[in-house]
Amino acid sequence: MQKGGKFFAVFIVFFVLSVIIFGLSKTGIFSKPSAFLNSIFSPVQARFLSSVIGARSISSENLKEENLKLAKEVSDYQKLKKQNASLMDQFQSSGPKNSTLLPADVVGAPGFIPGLSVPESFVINKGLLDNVKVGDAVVFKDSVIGKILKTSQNLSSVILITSAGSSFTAKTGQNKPVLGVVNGQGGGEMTLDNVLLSENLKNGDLIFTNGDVNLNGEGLPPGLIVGKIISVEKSPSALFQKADVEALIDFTKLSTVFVITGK
Amino acid sequence: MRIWILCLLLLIAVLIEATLTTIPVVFLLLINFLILEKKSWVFAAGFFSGLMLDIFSLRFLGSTSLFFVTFLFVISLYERKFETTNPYFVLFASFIGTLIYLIIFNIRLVIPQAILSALIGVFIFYVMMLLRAKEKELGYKYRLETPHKK
Repeated sequence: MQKGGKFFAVFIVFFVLSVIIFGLSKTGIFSKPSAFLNSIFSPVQARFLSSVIGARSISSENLKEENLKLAKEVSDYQKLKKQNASLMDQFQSSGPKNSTLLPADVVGAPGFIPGLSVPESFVINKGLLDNVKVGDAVVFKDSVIGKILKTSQNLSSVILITSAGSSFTAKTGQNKPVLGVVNGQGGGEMTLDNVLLSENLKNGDLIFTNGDVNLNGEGLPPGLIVGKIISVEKSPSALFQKADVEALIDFTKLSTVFVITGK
Repeated sequence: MRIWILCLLLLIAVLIEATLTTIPVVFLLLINFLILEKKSWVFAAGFFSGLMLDIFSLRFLGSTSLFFVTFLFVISLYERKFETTNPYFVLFASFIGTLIYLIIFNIRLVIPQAILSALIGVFIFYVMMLLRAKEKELGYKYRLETPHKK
């Protein structure tokens, strides 16, 4: 009975403390102490994550690098063709400018089974103090990784394009681009939905972001590689056709990404 | 079992959960600490480890602590009525607790993770039982005692 009473007293103390801290945290009062702790522990987290992920095998890395390079060359070729044909606006044809790219280390990539499951989000070691804002795009080379979902002073959470909550407009890299919506399905999978039945999708087509940047420079810029189509589902009785899209990048192996800060 | 070993395990679990996996490793450790040690300091451990997890996972401070402290108290209520130091209770508490935790914090794949967590919880239980038995064999005591020399 005495022990039960002691447990109850201790529980009440910590319960009340938790409620108070929870209430105060919504006012932002703990942002500086949190930032201080983050700055101490994020290098440890980054080191721990990179040691667990381990070095990528050289042969598979070379193949993936080659794949990304080829995808970029196709993308550049399509862009040049469009420019010659229709005198496109310069902003749509350019990739992210180097001056707006902020490198960030991935300090957290929690997934169901570490190293095997694709995580739904990343935690990176850049935050409000580095001009990172909610909605900023996160890229790796010319491929889109995701968008900033939450920020604190020193850390930010990135929702990956394959996450169940992710959705954005995209287009194919054909001469006459096909528009659709890429929806993350979780588990590293995406689908290209809302594509008209009259449009032609085929396996191997590259998918690029269509661009949804707002006046503040937040959002996904156009022309970033999303992935490639691996299967098409087209039923005459359905309103739209859809396709499964596979990302060209292995998200489980990323240790550095870049944030497009728009400044 | 020496408290510093348990705190070190908790710290490692916080690092693993913040960095690598969505499985609530810290929560599973806390359940086993309470069931095996039956001490009130587990509430303090739950409070502080919850705060650390909130900081590293960018959640509102206090949210995870609130959950840990509350669920640990519910487990302590069961201890008054039933014998809880057995793997079946650990399995049950780990499964239900993980289920609620994943739903509250909006983490995907709830059922598979809850099942895996329940199994990991039982594994941790057996490992801790083994360590406690080894500790007794080697003559270590939980409380620091100065040897009395005659």
